[in-house]
Amino acid sequence: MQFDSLSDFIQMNGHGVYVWAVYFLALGVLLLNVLRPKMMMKRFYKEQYIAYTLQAAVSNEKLKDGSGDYLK
Amino acid sequence: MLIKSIQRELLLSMRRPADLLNPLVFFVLVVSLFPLGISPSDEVLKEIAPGVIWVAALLSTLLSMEVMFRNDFEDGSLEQMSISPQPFLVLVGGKIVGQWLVSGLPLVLMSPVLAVMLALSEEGIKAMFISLLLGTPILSLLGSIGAGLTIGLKKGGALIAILILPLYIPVLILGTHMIIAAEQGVSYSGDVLWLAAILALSISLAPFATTESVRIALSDG
Amino acid sequence: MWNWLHKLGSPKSFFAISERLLPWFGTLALLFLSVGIVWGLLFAPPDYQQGDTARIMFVHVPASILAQSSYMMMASAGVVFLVWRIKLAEIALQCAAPIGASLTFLALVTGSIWGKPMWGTWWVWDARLTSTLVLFFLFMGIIALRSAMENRASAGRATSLLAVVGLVNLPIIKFSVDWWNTLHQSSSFSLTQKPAMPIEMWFPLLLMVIGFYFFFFSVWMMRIRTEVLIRERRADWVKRLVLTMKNKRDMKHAV
Repeated sequence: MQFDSLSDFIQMNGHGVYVWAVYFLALGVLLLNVLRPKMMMKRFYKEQYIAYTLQAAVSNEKLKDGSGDYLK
Repeated sequence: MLIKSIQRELLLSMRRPADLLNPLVFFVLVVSLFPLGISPSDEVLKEIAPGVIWVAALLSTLLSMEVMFRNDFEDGSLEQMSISPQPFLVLVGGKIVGQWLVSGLPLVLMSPVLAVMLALSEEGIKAMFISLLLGTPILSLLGSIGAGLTIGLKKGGALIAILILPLYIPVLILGTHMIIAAEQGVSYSGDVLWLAAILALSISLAPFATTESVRIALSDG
Repeated sequence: MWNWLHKLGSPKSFFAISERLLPWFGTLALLFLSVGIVWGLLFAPPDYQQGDTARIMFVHVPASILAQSSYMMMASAGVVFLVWRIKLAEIALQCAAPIGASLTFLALVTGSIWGKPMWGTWWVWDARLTSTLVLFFLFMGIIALRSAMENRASAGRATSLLAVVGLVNLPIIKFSVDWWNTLHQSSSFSLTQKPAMPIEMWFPLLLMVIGFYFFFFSVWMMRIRTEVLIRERRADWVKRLVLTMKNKRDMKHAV
């Protein structure tokens, strides 16, 4: 352990601002990189489910009277 | 075949003098803004001249790149060329050479006048002339790749700058260094060799990339 | 070997294989990064010249390394796509671009923050910072080109071509920037010169670099997986997957 107390650790001999800025920025960039694809995946599952149900509804409709073709 | 295609290119641009003149006027205009914006004193001008001339050359090449394939694309002749029995590579090569002849070469020929206005010495002007003569073909070759990729796109103008300018950096560094070295009375033959090597590399590779990029753009339509 | 590679090249089996690999990569990334960060912040000794600012190195150096090698990997995917027309390679290329750009951005900003206490200014035209800046422009070019092209297939071919052109140019650019920097030497201190780094600093740095690699592969895989699903959304296996996912979500709500 290089630091004697918590405040020492935060201040880092006066360089704390720079060091902590770098580490928090890195954390932010890494988190963004993880969350973005997760979000996209989630959205895909939701939207695609709706799309499939819609498709199924349209093809059911089509069986009856042939309308709804234009939706396909 | 290559000569035929270059001739066609020249003929077409003669019919459209604005496309030919605009980049040149742009080049002169940009260069003359710097004395107005910074200082007209000889020492300052000497200091900034190499960079100013080269950056202006880069930008005006980019400007003429934007229209390189546009007319041929819009009237469909580019598509015709790509399926014609003649090798497309040669046709595209002809277009690149033609493009340099009508935009790069006039710029090179014009540059000594500007160099005098920017207070470069005789040695410096000589070096600048050689550097532009070797450098502008590289700019045309590399730029044609970007021009091909952005053919049918609406926001082509800014896009081609983002795609191509980073690739121009080595030419800019070598070109300006040549002029600075000449001004200081140092030998610059090493830079000449480097520029020539990059030119040779570009000639042997860039036309292939451009041909491919035009093909991609045509299939995008 | 070839058979295995071929299998990996098909989007569907990539999705299956990556499903098994992803937890491992993610766990390893988390492990290496957290040990590396704690070690770097708490236990590594301060540099005798730079003091505690040297701790910035544990983020800056891995980010710079990844910035470069992610461009290399992206462009290699471009080569694979242009030569063998493997669809997955083109997806991989497009998914690597935003990650690479963000890591290059991180390298730039951390370098700049490091420069402030070291050089007294936020930006110095140091050779490495400058070539990282150029790298950032190259990434932005790929991203801009992709978003400008509407057709997915031709966007893939175009970005592959551009990445390969960039790959050929990168050594020339790097060399010319290094050379230019020696001509205009302004600072005597360079980020690259580290006179004999002690082992206590070297080891956490290594951990961080490995952690960044695992991280990159993890998020790259995640992006590719999403993109594969979007492109294959008309395929039966995606349809079944979507329906099972829906069932899982419903079950969770029921509980």
